[in-house]
Amino acid sequence: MPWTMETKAGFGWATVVVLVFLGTIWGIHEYRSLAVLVAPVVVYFAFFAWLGRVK
Amino acid sequence: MPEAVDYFLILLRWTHFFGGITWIGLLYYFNFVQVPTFKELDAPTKNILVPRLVKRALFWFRWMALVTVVAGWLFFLTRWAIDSSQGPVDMTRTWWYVSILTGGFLGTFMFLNVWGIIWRNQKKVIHATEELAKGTPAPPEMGKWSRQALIASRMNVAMSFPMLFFMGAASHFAVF
Repeated sequence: MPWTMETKAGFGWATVVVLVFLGTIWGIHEYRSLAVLVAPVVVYFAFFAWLGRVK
Repeated sequence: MPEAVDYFLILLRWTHFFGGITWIGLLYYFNFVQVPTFKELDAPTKNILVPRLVKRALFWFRWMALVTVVAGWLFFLTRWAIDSSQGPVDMTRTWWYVSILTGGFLGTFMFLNVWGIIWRNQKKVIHATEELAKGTPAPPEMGKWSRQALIASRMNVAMSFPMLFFMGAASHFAVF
């Protein structure tokens, strides 16, 4: 798989998403609150907004 | 002897596996086989393949994504209902729930990428390619549509690795 802009962006965003998910799971485990689920939702919209600006 | 609900659960599990293998298999086909191969082809050959091969592959890709996610969430909700009927379930303290939900949310994120980004852009590319064959010039946004779809596709490849890990680890690698 060539290390193009698309691969870098895709893998970069995937890393962010996975880290946020792991943080969310840790947050739920630690604080026993589902409120932290807002974090991955925010990341999804951030990715969507960023992608909309790709030319 | 298995009870009625066990038959329902194994049917959902089988459907989830069948859909998942087809969906993720096609995702790897697109990223590891088709994209690099298409880079070596000339425009007329691509114009033949896109409305036929790509369209057909995308049909199975997006519908199997839906089948996988629906079967997966139905399985989860059924299992949760069964566990809850035997007493309160603390999802934050039970490894199976933590792991399967991590994999499940990653898979759902991937599913949103399939329908919300990849398919939305690819259907425009397919339509433009079909129009190209009729003599209509390619729209200037075609490159942007392909690029956006490819980014989401690459993202799904990267997310599929931890997603598969957490799906398998739920029953086979208990951390707590």
